[in-house]
Amino acid sequence: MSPTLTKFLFCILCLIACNQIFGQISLESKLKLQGEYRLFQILDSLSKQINIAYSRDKLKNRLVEVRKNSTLQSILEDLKSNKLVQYHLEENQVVLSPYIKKSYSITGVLKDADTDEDIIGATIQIDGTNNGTFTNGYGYFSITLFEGVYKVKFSHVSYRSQTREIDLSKNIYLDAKLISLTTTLDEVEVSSIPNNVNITETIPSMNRIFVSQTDLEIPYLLGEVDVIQNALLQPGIKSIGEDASGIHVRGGAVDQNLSLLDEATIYNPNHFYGLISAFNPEAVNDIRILKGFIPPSYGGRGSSVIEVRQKEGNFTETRYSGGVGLVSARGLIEGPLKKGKSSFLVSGRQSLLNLSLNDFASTSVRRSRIRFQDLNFKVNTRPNNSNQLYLSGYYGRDRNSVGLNSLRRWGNSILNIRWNRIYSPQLFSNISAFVSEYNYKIENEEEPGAFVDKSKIRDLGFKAHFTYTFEISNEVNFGINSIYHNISPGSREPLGIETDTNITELGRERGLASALYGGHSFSLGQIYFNYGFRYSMLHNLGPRRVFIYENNQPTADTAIIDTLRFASGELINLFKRLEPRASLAFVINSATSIKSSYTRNAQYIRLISNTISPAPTDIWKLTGTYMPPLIADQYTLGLYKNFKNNIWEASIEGYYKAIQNNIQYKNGADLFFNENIETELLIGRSRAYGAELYIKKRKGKLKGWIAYTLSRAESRLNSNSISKFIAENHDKTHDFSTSWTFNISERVSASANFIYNTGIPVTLPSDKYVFENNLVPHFTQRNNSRLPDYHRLDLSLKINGKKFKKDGSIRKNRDYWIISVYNVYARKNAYSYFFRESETNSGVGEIVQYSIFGTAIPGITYSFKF
Amino acid sequence: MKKIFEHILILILISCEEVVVVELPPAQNLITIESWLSSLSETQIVKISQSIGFSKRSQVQPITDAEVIIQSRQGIIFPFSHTNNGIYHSNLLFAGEVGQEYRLRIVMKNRQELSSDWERMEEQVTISDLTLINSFEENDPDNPGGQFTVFFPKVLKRDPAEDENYYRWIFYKDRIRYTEPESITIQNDRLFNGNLIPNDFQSFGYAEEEEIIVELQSVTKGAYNFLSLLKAQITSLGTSTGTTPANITGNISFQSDEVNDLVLGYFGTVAISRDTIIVEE
Repeated sequence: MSPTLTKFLFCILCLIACNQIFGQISLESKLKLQGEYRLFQILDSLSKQINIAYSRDKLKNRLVEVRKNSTLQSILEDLKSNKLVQYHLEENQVVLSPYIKKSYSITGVLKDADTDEDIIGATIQIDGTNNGTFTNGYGYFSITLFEGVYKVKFSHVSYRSQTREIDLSKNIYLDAKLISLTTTLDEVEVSSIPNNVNITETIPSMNRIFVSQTDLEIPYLLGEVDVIQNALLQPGIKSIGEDASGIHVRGGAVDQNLSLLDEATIYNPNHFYGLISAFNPEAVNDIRILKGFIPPSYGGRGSSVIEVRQKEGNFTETRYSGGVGLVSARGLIEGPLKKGKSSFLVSGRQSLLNLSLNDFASTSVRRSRIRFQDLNFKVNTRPNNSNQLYLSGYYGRDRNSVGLNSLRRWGNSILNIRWNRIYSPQLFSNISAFVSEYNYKIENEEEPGAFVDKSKIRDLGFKAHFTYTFEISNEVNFGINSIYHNISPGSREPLGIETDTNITELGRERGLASALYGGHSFSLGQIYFNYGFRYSMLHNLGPRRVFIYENNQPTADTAIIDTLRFASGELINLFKRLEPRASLAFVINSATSIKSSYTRNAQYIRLISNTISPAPTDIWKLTGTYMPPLIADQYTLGLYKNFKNNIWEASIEGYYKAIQNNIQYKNGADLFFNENIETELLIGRSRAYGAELYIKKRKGKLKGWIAYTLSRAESRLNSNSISKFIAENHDKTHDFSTSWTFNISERVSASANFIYNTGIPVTLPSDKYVFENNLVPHFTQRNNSRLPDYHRLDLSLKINGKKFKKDGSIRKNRDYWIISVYNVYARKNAYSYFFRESETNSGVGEIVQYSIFGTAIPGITYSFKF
Repeated sequence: MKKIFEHILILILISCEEVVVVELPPAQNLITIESWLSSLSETQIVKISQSIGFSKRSQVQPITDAEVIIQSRQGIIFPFSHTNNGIYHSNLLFAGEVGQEYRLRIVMKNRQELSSDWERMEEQVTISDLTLINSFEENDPDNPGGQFTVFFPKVLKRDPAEDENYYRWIFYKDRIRYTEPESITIQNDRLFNGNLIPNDFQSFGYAEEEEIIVELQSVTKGAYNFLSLLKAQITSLGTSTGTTPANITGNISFQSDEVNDLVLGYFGTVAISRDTIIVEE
């Protein structure tokens, strides 16, 4: 035993001064020594004098420095703070155990430094590790880490990245703010390196559109910035043509997309018969399109989720922005109600002229004209760091006059109230309630008799979502959704006094669509898992009449053998489905991963439409006695790779989607005001499969992407098991699109899109015959050919206003012009074929190729912000 | 100013149509029949032809050598004879009787027999009133800036409450029938059963001094469905609001099980009510 240690022990023995005694010494006993010792040296000696319990196997024999005038307690505390041991006192024994690192959470809401608005979808990465997380749809994030000092990096495509050093020794609430790239003066790229979230993200096949940034600059038809047009340039997202409303995601039908604005469903996300989307770009912040793996918190549609978030409103100062184009004018005002605590936003958009798409050449007063407008608002308050309340709304209307005396009006409206609460650093909740309505109204003074038709679907919804974070990359999500659907398929009332039309109303449909869900995401080494389930239900509720058909087959209304009547609130049917979901990402290295997923979606509500493209007057119908829920199973497998410090990202992804209980229609199905609509429907199945290639350059003077999809979408009827699958109307074998933006100078940037795809299927006639002097085409097989291939180039130029005043100071106001040319080389892309009799040659049939745009279309818009 | 803008928009958004040549599936050469037995005592007509390849430059082939009769449920037979170009006239003037059922039977030269389903002559519904109360100014396409007045007929009818009724309207301008696909005008009484219905026909414009003949036909549900499908197939195909191309199923078929060929067209019965007016300001 060394003399120093003997001295040390002697001191311990001698200096007993306190109430609690462990063997022969107390905690407060002063030790007259200093110097460095090995831990076991100290402990071995101590154990002879006091009751001390420890295990050599578990402790590390490190060097320990003992300061002058240390007490037993201070030595133990030092050992603890050096993270060598933990101790606790048990009766008259000191029990030592290996030090276990404590975990603490960093939570907070990431905000825009300028406006205080929440930043959605930003990444938070721990420097030097692969660990990271995202801000959720409300800007909230939570990361749980072992205590220590970390460099935390916040990044987002529209913001200058920021790294903060954090000493994590307790739970921390962090008020992080990022500076928007649009407000930074130097357009020189911030030196940050783009992140690799696309590699580690466990939601494969997700497209994101940031309306606030460069996604604005790509050329749009008539210069109208449009989120749906932008989405169509992404892989796997298609439309039938320019004049067609609705999009097809990975071969799914138009009604298989769940469009959410804040939390509420938008049933018709279009204006102007599909040419312009219902989402005013001025009021929209961020759009996510989930087309492969759908997290369990979403459901109710077979193919995709299109999640649109409105801006929050500026918390610090009142700002105005807006724009004027050829088609519409838009404006926005936002600002604080109480600075830093609450904000508001109001935005509106109005079409400028009576627009007309079909029959443009006609000067007839009877031609069809259209107008549209919409209004968005949001009020937002943060009483404290743990709570945030929102109230948001949307009202959109289209007004179409057809001929002289017919007026059609339709639109969506929503009202949504939402409460985000942080209960603890681990537990976050989002609770919302909403009303969503889509309706249309037709006033007609023509035959047969003047009437007003009305139809509407109204949802009352409630959602509660909870996220519990155990530690980084380990969290559970759970919650409930419930929507009460009330559908009035149609009512007709007489218009004016002389009319004698009956008041007719089709039976209403009511149903409660609910779901309980849970999901868990975690990582095991290089593998990131995200799995869960959704248990969904639909209660069909009375009052309602249900027709009973012969052999239970709704073949025709003449086959009705009985009618069942259900009282108000009475249960008619209950459908239940378990929807498992799973996704995994195998991160090979920080720039490469392989992801695979499986998603089942059950859909309980369908759009009844047998036209090529849905009309605003099509009605929604709930799953019921004769219409089972649609079930979609999708499998995906993809390889993701980033190059050159994540400046380039690339992915290739394959998918296979099988859809059961797909609806088809009988020849000449009569869907208008039909009480027995089930007699016009046929149940079938469809499938879609394909591969998507995506390459994107995210930084630099030249930015843009290339998307290519090779795919097939086809369907067949159930009744005929030998029938072959036939290509769906929206099937495009090859679909290529690319979009690039080049910063020419500080103030000028140029953009280009190029699109090429295989023509959509078309049904060609074999014969012609004459009936009542009209030449009639006769068809043998549906979709037996294709339209010519489609290609188009669009260009645009963005010119920013001056950033400095004459005296050299910075202008607070921003403005820019966008000049665009759509279809630059004036290609007459085929939209469809008409089969008709030649005007000059009676009895001779002609095939006429119809192009919506036969020429190049210029557009110009002016936008400002002050 | 607004007008100028509107014209700019019209110019730049103008859509475009072009006749193209496309390879088509092989022709099926199907028998096509067109016949509406009316409730008026007149020469009844049956037209028979054969479809040909859509892209053929020639007209459809008339069939001139068939044996044609219309038969009533009571067993009365009305024979027809070929006149010209596949048009067969009844040998006698006769009228379909309301409430009676009829069918068309044809024997082809190769002795193959065709027959329609039985069609019932529906109750005749009379036009209560025909007036001209509405007019509007239409831009004159031949004279830019000029306008002319267009009149359209307004017709009242009383729908019988007890039945499901299906109607077809036919319009004549100075004795010439509107035959364009768009002028196929059909109605069912689902939404106005048992009411006195005013019908404004804005699609049928007339100028001053022209004679309007309005014909209201009561048709069967089968004929209504056929016409509705026919109209959809010849007016809306190729537009985004159009339906998918489909067979227009008729009510005529070959009697032998060995022949599976479709027969195109329809044999229908129409109970007719007419009214006339001359356009005067």
